[in-house]
Amino acid sequence: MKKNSKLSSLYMGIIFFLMYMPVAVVIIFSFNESKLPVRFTGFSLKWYQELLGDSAMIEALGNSLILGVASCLVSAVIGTLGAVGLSRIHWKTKSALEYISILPLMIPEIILGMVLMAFFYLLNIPFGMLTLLLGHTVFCVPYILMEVKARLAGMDPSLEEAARDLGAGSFRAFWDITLPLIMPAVVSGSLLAFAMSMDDVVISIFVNGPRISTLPVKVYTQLKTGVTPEINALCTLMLVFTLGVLAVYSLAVWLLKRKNRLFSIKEK
Amino acid sequence: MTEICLELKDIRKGFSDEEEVLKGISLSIGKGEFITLLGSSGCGKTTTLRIIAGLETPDAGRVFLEGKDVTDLNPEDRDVNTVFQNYALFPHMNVADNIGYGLKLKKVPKPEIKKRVAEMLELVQLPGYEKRKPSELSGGQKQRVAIARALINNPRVLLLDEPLGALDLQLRRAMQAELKRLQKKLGITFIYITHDQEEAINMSDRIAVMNHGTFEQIGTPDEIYNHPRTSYVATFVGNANILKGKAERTENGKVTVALAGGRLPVVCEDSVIREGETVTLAVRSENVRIREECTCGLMAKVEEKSFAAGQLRVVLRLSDGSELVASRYGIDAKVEQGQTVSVCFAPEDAVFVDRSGEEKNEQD
Repeated sequence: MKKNSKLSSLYMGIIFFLMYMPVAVVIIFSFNESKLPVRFTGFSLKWYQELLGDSAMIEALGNSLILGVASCLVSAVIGTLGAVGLSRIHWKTKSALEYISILPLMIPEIILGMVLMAFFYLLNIPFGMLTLLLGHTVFCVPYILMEVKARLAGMDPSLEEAARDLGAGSFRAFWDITLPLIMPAVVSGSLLAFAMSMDDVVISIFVNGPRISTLPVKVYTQLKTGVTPEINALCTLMLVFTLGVLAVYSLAVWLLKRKNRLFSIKEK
Repeated sequence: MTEICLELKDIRKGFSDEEEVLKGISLSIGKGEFITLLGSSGCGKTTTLRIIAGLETPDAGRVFLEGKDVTDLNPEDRDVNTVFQNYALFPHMNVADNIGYGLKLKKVPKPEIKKRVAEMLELVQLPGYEKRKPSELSGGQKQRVAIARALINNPRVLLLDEPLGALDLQLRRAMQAELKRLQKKLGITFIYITHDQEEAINMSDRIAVMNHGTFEQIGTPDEIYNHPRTSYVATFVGNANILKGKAERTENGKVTVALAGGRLPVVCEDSVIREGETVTLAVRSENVRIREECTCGLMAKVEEKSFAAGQLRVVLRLSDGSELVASRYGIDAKVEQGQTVSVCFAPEDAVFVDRSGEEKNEQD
């Protein structure tokens, strides 16, 4: 057993090293003075300075944030309503409907991107923020739908019935009882969707049009003209941001759990 | 009966391809009555309750609440409240918000809600529990909160769906008494669902025994227990033995019935029994007597002897192969397995059941 555990920690160490080594390299070289990512010549923040001065990059970041938040909000509404709707029907086609609603996750992105581009072109929708938003919403909805669906499945249906019984109309019962109880799933699904929207390249490239660019697309296109340490700095910042979001989310979940053990919906 | 509070008229309900769950049931419930729907799981009692609450729509039939047809009303528009089987307390609200939810929907001013919630908690003996969360309550306390949450709305009818099912025996007894006390005090009509015949007999003014989507018998606990109409009621409520026989001679209100392994006289109260007719008798196990020597009764073989809950239970096999159970208090060493004994019962302890031609579904 002892020997095994040593071996397994060694194995684990190697795996983690291989996985996070590149990330570490990027972070380290973002602070490198030299332009060439071969030798560390000295600590410097100049690439961060350059990044902040790069208005095109900042604009792309702004676009990505706006797009992320917007597609996340739209998908949260659609995904939640979809999950609630699916939980209430008892048709024979229910499982097929469920499958269809998460299909965007399974269709290869490249195909989805092409299809969306062709579709928007057909409808004559000008490429820009609107097409980006529509495209991102398509693949964001399933994340929220799946999370909310799982949570609804664990919810006692008599809770909403009790609210109806006490005099609440169907909307009021949903608003007062079901929504607060599925909120954690809506939030976690939305965060996941936000993360997916933030780093999407493939679909964005197809639907963003000539005048607008998101951050991942910008990074990708800049790679073609050569990597500058500015990209390293940007990656480091994005990493910090992502981890920050994750930390806030975990903290919120932990606090909620501690406050009222809300996560055990079933009262028994 | 006094003023009618709730009336079901020929209610039918089926779910998709299955057999009908309710096969046209009718029931009138008086104001302030405590009525119990008694039956095993799947008999349709919960569906009946859900139809009264408006959570389910009947396929046919009407529901009248104080004379008004409420069949097509939504649950929120009916003056009826429910205590759910698993309490269904809102986990994200504290006790006060749970109880006050109904009043909040009616836009009652906050100070008044607070006052009435406190009164309600007093009534269910949980004063000062306003700020607790449902997850911090025991099963019995959740039960009380669920009752308070329903009663605060002053419903015309309170529906209770096996409310004591999840509680242990001692707590259940205490809650039975308390529910009865509440019901007497408030004078609200209670419709209570249970599969526990003891509970039904202890609490109810009337019991409606349900089986396969119909009412087998509706009557007072005394009627149900002592004068079962059907073999189902006799076995379900009284753990009775069912014996098939033939009426041989009727005189002076007594019928001599030929049963497997002998003849016994049976008192016949109201049913008219013709000679030669095939009859079904229900005899509760505690009324079956075993005698070793005498040969006046039915000859039977002792098949099994067991002792449980202070009662000796003897399983006997009659000559036609049917089973008969006798029980009595104390251990009787005289009866041995394999022994052939004579079995009898007093003429007044057997009841004729499953009489065709008699009305089965309705009474009163």
